[in-house]
Amino acid sequence: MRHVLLQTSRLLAVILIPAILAGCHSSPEPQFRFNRVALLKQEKTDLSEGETYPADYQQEIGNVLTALYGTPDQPRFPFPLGAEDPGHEVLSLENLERAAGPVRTDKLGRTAGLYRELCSHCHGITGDGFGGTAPSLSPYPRDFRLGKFKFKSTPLRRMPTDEDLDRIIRNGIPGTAMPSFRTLTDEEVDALVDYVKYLTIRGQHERRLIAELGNLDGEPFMNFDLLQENDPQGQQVDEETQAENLEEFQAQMYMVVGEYLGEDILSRWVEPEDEISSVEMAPAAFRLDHPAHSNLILQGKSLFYGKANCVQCHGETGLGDGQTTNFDDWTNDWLKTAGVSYDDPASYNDFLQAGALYPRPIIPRNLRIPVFRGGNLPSDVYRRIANGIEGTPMPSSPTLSNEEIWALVCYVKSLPYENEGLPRDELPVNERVVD
Amino acid sequence: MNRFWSILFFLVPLLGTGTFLMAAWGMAPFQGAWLPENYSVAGKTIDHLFYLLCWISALIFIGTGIVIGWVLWRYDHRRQQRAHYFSHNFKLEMVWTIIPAIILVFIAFYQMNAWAETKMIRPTIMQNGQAVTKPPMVLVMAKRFGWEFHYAGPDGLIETADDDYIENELVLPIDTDIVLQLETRDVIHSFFVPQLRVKQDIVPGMKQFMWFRATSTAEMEIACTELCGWGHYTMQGRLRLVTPTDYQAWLAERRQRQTPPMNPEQEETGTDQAKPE
Repeated sequence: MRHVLLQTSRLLAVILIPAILAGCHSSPEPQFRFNRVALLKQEKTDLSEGETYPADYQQEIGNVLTALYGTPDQPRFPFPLGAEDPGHEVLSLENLERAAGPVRTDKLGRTAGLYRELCSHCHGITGDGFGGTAPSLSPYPRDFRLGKFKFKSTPLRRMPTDEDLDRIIRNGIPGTAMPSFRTLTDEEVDALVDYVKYLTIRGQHERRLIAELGNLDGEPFMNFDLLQENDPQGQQVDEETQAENLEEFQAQMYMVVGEYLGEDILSRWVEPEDEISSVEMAPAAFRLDHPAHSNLILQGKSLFYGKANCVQCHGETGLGDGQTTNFDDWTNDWLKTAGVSYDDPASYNDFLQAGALYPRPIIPRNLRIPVFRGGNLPSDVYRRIANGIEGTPMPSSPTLSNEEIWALVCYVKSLPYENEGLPRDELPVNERVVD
Repeated sequence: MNRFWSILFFLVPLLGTGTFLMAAWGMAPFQGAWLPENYSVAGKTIDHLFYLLCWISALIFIGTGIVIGWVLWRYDHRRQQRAHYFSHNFKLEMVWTIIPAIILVFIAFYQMNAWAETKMIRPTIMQNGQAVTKPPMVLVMAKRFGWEFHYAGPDGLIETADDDYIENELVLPIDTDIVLQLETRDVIHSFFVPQLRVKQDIVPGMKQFMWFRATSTAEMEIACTELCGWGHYTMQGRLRLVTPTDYQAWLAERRQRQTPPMNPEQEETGTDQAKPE
């Protein structure tokens, strides 16, 4: 009996001790990943072949961003004007704290660390669209750092409203790997919306700083030596120079926070609701049971193949098999850099090393499936056609009249059901598949 | 230590039954481990069957546990009793064949109506004085990783141009025969609402139908219960059971949203074109 127990306890020791040791070892606190792709692109643009910017710059940009935005576990947001700061309209720190950090239960007993629980495995801790699952998804998860959002109620080059982001989180994006988080509470969705905006603003700011590297002539963004009372030789600096130095330092600080962040980025995030594009009245024939409905569909069809030229990308069949050699802006951002060619993978190997995802052409939407990524309401489809889709080859259509856009909406919404009752050989065929 | 093993074997029925009772009464740490509250008519029958099977299994489980424990206790090796070897015993084998057979045949017949009502006999509606199977009111399209609920438009039929879909939210009226058509866009999924006691695998290329009748308003989760890939756990939908009046109001609001504001002036000019019907 005794030796059986002895053996059992030995076995337990062999199994349990490594498990206990592994459990005690705490993993390092996650950090935001530096945007090396943007840096590499900037180096290829500004400098001659093989040259790089000094590593100090990467360190300095990292310091500036950490000072302003904190870390993934301890988010911060620059509100230079305190409680009066208009930045409070953009997002709330309370929401950021709920969404950030490790998954946990907060003091009020609510789930916190929502971003890491629900989003980070695709979008990445940094919001760079490079989470663990990213390479295996098509389309790739969104990289927030470009500040571009596809499905929104505002026109191109405008920021999405909170409601737009809210809707994407709740509805997901049908036809992509973005699932719908319908079971979250309103508060939880609000927290995630703010955190997405926070990651976006941080990423935009980082890109902005990297883009400025060429204008610095080797000087740092902010020269803290200007605040010293003694010059490098150890001499006391006189009061007049000190005042000048302080002024210069403040000017540098104003550039980094006031201009790059405040004027160029944050100002566009304040009240994007004012920019929401209107959806004009639809013609009465839009109603399915209206006698002229089929005429409206035919009008849309002729626009599809004619004036609006949808056929160029969405294909003769509407199956999305037209122009399929374009890239989206997130890929073009570095793929269009000098010396890089899609046909020659060796030319962009260093970008892949730096953390870019392997470039894949963007596939136009197959309109024969009754699912619309940006929402299936007529007003959603109207906005996609009227405003275009940010970051993709889908253009806005300023030349189309209101009625023409509605005719197109009507035609596109009828496409999945167009061939009901047709014999099989008359159905549209995806030519790429048949080849 | 001489009767250590027989005590261990006595613990099996004791702890097993104890765990079950603790779960059934919702005691810590088994809160929420038992069946959730039932919200469907057929669920009552299914729960009844569940408890019946539970009781039959419990009796057999406890009986077997006691017999094994008793044999170990009684024939402990220190008593130096030699075992008696026999190759077979016709009477004993008859007993342990016929009793389980009777139980199984009883269960097979006893559950037949429940199975037929939930899986075979679809609800009917009266049409031109004839009872016809009720058409599905929602097409449930499963996909990696989520649920699309395609609601029939004003024509009452799914898979037509007036359909409206919602992602991951299913709203259904109570006290109404609900028929769902289940399909998948990619791999095998499974539609599971434990509170309604329904679960159905969805196989690519097949149309599955599911029907039930909910009894009271509630909000519950729809889960995918077939491992369908890395995002399987994100396949959570929300099911809201509402009163038929609320359902009609909700449906009207959805349809309202499907109809953009229209130009009333064109109403008259449009009517001169005959619609091919």
